Amino acid sequence: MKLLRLFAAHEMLAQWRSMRFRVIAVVYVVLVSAPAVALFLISGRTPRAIGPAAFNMFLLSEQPLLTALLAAGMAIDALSRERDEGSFPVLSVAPISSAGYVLRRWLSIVAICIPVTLLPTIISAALAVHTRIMLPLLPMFAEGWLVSVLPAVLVSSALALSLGTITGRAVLSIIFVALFFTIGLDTMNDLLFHVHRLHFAGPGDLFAGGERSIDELTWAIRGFWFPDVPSDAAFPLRARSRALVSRAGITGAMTIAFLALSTFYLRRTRRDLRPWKLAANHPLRTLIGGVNRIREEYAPDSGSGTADRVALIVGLILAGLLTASIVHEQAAFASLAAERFTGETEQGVPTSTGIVAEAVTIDAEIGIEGSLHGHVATIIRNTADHPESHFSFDLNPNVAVQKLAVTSGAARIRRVWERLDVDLDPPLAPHQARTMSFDLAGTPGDIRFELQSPGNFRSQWTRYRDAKQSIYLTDLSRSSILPAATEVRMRLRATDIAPVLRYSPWAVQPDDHGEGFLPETITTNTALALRLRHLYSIAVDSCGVVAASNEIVSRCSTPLASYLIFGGPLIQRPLGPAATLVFIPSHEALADAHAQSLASSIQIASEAWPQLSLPAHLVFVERPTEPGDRQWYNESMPWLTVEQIGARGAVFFVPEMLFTTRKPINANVFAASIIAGTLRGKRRVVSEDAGFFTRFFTSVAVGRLGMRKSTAVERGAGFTAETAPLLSEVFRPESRMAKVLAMLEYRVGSSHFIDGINDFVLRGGERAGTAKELVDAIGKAGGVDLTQTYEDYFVGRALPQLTLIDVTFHHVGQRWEVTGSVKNVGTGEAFVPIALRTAQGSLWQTIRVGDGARATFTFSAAGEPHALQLDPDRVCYRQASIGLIENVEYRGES
Amino acid sequence: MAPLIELHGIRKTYSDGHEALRGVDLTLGEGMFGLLGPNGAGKTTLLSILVLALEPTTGTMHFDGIDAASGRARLEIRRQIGYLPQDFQPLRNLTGAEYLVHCARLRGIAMTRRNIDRRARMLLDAVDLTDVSDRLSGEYSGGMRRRLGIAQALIHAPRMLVIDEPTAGLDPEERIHFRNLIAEVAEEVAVLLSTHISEDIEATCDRIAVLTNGVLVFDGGVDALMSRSGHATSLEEAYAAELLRHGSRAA
Repeated sequence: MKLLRLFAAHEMLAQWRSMRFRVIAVVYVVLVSAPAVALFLISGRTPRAIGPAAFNMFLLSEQPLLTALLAAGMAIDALSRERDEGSFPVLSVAPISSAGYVLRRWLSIVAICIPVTLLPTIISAALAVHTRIMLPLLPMFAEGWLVSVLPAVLVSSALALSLGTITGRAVLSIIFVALFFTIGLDTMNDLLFHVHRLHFAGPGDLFAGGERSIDELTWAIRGFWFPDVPSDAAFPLRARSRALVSRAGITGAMTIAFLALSTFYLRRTRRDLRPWKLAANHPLRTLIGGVNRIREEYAPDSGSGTADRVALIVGLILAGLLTASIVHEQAAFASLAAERFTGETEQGVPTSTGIVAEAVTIDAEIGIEGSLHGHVATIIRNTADHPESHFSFDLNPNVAVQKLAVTSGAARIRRVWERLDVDLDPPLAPHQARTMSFDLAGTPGDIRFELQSPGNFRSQWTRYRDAKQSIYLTDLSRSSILPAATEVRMRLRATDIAPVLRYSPWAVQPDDHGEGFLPETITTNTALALRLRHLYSIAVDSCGVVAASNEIVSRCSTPLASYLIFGGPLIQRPLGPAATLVFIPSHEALADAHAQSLASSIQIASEAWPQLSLPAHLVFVERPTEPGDRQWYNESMPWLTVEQIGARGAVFFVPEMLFTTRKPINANVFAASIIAGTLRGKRRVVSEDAGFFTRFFTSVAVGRLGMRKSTAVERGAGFTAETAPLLSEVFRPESRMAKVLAMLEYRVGSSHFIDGINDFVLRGGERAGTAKELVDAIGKAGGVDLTQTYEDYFVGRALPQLTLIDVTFHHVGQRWEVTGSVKNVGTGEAFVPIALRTAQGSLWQTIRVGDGARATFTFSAAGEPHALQLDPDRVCYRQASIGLIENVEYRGES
Repeated sequence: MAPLIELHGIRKTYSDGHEALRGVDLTLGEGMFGLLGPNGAGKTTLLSILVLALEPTTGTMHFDGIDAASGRARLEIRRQIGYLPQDFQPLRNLTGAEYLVHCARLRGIAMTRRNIDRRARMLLDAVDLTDVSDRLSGEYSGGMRRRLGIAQALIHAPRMLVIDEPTAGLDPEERIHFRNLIAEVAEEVAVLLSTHISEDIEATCDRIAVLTNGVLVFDGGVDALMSRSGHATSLEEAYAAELLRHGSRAA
């Protein structure tokens, strides 16, 4: 340790006095800190408050790469100082082992790099503190440095030092490093392909920060938008550390091996080599002489000590273990991928709808790293008239059933991916109940397989599995598991903590839609009793329970398929007697700013829809940003981002990206969410229409609160008009929804429109409602038949395009007669108002124009006509495009 | 008294077939020993073997009775040897005093920091570098650098000091200064001085060896070498005559 201190002190002293080092260090600090400084400079004019996570993200965007260059430079500089300047011969006679020398030399380089690399971190943290917008989360900076910067220092300096020592020349070491990182790994992968189909990804991820971040920062500086930033709640240290092992594994293993090997290449005691006897006139004497010089140059030292041999053995063992761990990870993920492939391609048999889970009792604990241990007791009743023996459950694939006990009979389990099939013997008799008790353990989470694009999982895995060349393989060890409970948040679906009966077919999503099985569309209420111990300061669930302790206890009747528990390092504050706000502690100032809006939104909601009785207590939870969240997606429609948890309408997620808006959020945004959530909570709907109802109620509430700026007309130029059915879950046609609702409101009248919704929601009974019933209720309230409208726009892709044709103006006696037609050159039924503007006022008619049809009209007016206008208030759903006539002016006697 | 270093049958053939040493037998004890030889005679090879920087092709070396072939012995031998190479360069970003302290620590001297500082100052004084001890060693002249080299070689109180061509490239005044310094050092430590300049040997050494073409052709006192040539009036002449006798082109 004394010697290590000596090496480090010497390195620091020597480098500190070196002008070259000081210049390099200053350049490094300036370059690495620049993004954070730029962020600080624009922090006063960004639309969103800039928190510590943003500073940290931009700091780490380029720091790993620049740090790797710095560390390699420091190592090469140290080598060249010793070797090229001739001081090594004296140092090499020091009575320390070669291994000791190399190790201390390396650590001394690390020791000087560490304070330099910490400087930008300190600067960024200080800037984050100085913005005073949010309370800084200083551990976040330290943890970011630990998993992104320190590994770059360790690996890069060790690699440069070891290769420099082995090659004996700085230039050669640079060439070797470059070759290693470029063609070396590819060549190795080609060779490895034939050995066990291994594939190792390069060190790019280890040193790469985020080019995207810098681009986004540039856009932010130029005022185009504000980039996506991670959550301010916490740094995901555990997930990043796990990822680090796979990112740094192979490079680290090679580095360790090189470092251990370099102890034999210090050239302290040059080995005696048997001379090659060569005739003086040998035709290849020059070539052989050159080879001999290389042999001499790269012969390992002789007389190695025990310490050197131990170091080599330890180094090679470590490198081997690291490589083995990567290979093991690859094999483990390959096994999981194969299981998922089987699960998604095998025809699973779902549970019969006659089977219901009457009651579920969950007693579970979420521990460090998101590990779950739990006991679940499910009372299953057979409501059908025939016995049932097969029960299919949905359970997170990372959670294992350790034990299953049944109150009577025997149970046989089969597990494939998330499908858990239980077969009872004897079968469950009609109207009988049986209790299944599961002991569960695992780490619920989502697995992201590192497979090659394009295509969905199934095609990607097939490509990997059937690869005939190494280029089609990927390093599966780079796959990752995002646990349901991380440092940032706990987000547990019911299937993460308990087996949930699956009624819908085990069918995967369409290829162009997404991954995994289609969501459960058949839901029944279950009496849930939950007791969950966790590590977070606050947890809420979709039953509306808010528990400010390490345990949440909840009892309610709820569909398990939509049940959710959410927790995190959050704090809460009451918003009067009727609501609670749960938020990220560093966002306290923002909570102050938004509290008033949130509180008043409840009042606004109750006034805007007086027939609704709001839940007695509402909970707003700031949902920490998830990896991959895109806040810009719904920037123009913020109400779409406020998400209701569960089906009871009492708990709402306010995404962090909305919560960090600098200006207080418009109270109407929350009011719209409250209205939509309450409407959803008032009436059960069929699961296949659940997504539609969310969008419908939100759009209605937004319109009710005057936030919908849209008319019923699709623009004719620019973006292609949305024509997806409103019931589509794939395209989520928000814009078309708003336009069709504007048209509906016109057709039935505003008050009838609301009456119809109220009829459906408040007087619909216990039965699960459908979209068709909703539309019929609206039509009934307005006295119109909306059957065709439903078929055209809710189920179909219709889009009318209307034009005026053959319009004539006649003077008939003392009156004027205006005739003409409206032609629908598009599709779908349209009810279009037509206005005749005259000197004595306007005359109106509403005409029905069918799909591709033509409808005539006649106006008789006392005053001289000025113009005939088609849908001047733009209340008829249609597309207005160039070439369609919407206005005909009267220019004289005809 | 047992000899400090015993070399027996040391041969060194480089991988290109060049025979640098052809069976050298040599024993070294206390006092100052001069190794004379023309350029290319094998002096640096022999010194490299002595300081364990080069493995001989054959032969044995014992230091104070310890066989240098074993890895563990090497650490012990390195502890006992001070070495000033021909092209010595200190770490240029350290001052003379810092460099000596660094070398002391590197060699694992069991002393307190204060005592190490004291020893470094004493040695700097001995090599007449006290005035420039706080200057960066990269700014030292060639002579000053050599003197600092002597100080670093002595910092860990070795039993033997190996010096390779110490006066090459120095001006006459510096050479004399340096020669005197080595002579002073030799009063306390065994010194092996390798050079091709006979004057340096004549002024300081009790015993000399002449190496030419890898063969030790003479090993004895200065007077003995003089008397071998019969008519020589100086060591240089005796040395030249010895080389001629053995057919060295350098003579």
